[in-house]
Amino acid sequence: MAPLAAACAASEGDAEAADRSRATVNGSGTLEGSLHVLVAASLLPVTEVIAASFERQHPAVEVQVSAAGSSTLREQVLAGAPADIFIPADPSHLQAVRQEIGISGEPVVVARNSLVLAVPAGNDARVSVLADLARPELLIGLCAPEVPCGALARSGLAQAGIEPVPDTDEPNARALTTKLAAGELDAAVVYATDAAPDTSASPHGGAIVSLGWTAGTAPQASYAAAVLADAPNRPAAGTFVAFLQTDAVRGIFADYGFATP
Amino acid sequence: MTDAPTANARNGNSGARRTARDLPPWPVALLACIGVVLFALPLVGLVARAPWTGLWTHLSSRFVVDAAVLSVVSSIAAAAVAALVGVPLAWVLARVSFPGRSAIRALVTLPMVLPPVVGGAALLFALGRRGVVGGPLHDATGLLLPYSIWGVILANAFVATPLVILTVEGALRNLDRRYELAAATLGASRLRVLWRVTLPMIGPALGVAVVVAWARALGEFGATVTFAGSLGGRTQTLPLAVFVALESNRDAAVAISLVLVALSLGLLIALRDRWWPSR
Repeated sequence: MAPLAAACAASEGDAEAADRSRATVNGSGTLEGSLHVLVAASLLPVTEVIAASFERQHPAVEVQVSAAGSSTLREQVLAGAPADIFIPADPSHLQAVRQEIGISGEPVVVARNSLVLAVPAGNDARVSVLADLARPELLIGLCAPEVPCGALARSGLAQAGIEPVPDTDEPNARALTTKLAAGELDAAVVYATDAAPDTSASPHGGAIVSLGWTAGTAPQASYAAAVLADAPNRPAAGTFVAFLQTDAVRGIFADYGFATP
Repeated sequence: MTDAPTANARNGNSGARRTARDLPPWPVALLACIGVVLFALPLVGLVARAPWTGLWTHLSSRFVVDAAVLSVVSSIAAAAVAALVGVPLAWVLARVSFPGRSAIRALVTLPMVLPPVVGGAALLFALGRRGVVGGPLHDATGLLLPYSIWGVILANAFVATPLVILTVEGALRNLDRRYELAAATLGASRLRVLWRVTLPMIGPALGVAVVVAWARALGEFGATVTFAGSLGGRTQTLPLAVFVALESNRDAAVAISLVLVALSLGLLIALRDRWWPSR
């Protein structure tokens, strides 16, 4: 069903898109031009791999990936940043975009992530449970409430009855993992994909260790891909969103620790 | 444009009547106008989006006041640090000839061209809890610079000091050294010459340097957020508050931005009238 929706998204308004598009489908039906994809910061490493894979299938398309906090990207889109696809870490960030810019077709959830309590390798502060985030003597980091990882972490902690005492509210997930990986924080709530249960398998070279979510169900982030109504390269955008739902890409998401629908 | 000389003569604000030679060739005038538009447009955007009716409500909200207090305190402290470190450095660079002087000058002015985020990260790796210097320092004294106002001040001083160094070094090089020599031959010690002759003579340049450094510190974002983090009431300065508010409370963000613009613009106009030759 989802690929169908993406296919519809691609066909809807193709005629007018082709007129003003910087990219076109040439005679043999191959895609061309550049494709600008805005992704939540937590999605950057996996999206770069997916983009490379897409470019191998469509050599005439150049995929440009920009990553930042979902709320930062939302504002960029609202301000008219030229982009084809927007994939925030929380579908709520698509609401204003849908109203002010317009979305072609329906957004499709392409991956999910969960939040975990994480510590730097070594865990010098002996952090073990989420309740440790309320210990004032520790250096605690969260994402800012404006970005999904911060909003989800706060609501999850509130549900568990924990009042965290952060020393910093980082503007996005990557800024937070950077400080955690450097050992400049004792504990933080990060995405599961940025930490690993053991010290070998994390994208940060084992610098961040996951302790899981120790109180009930972990908060979930959903990454929904939306093709913007004014996407300069609508044909490639629709194809890319469909590509995100193929088994091959699901495998890539899984390799990076994401769940797929 | 073309009636400028007559208007000028009518106002009589300069002794000599301007001649056609003072008029810019048209490409110069055109590019200059484009330049003005380039700098004026963002201000127009800001003013157009300003929530004029609720301006005071936004500016008196808790997070804005907290950020303003922190910004004022940390930027003044950073300007003081910049003067304290920058003036001696400028003196050494201007007066002492030693091997590697150009390298040292490049090193201490590097933060001017370095992306601030890179500077912040470098500070973190040097002075953070696990940093090369910060690690032993923390183990020995328990002192922790990131996540505190000290981290904010250090990050601000890091980017602001080069402005003091460059301005003061330039002033020292242009100084007429006969006054210093005269003071020295009259028996003044070198420190006394510096304090009573050199510093008063470069006073105006020093003033400009410190104020510009202060303004730079007030607007600092990248190094601060990377080194000191961002927490309301502790390390969230006005620029960080703008960044956060842009995504949650745009009216407040625009209100803060207006204040920062007004402050900086007023400062630059005041500087121009006081210290920069207006000819």
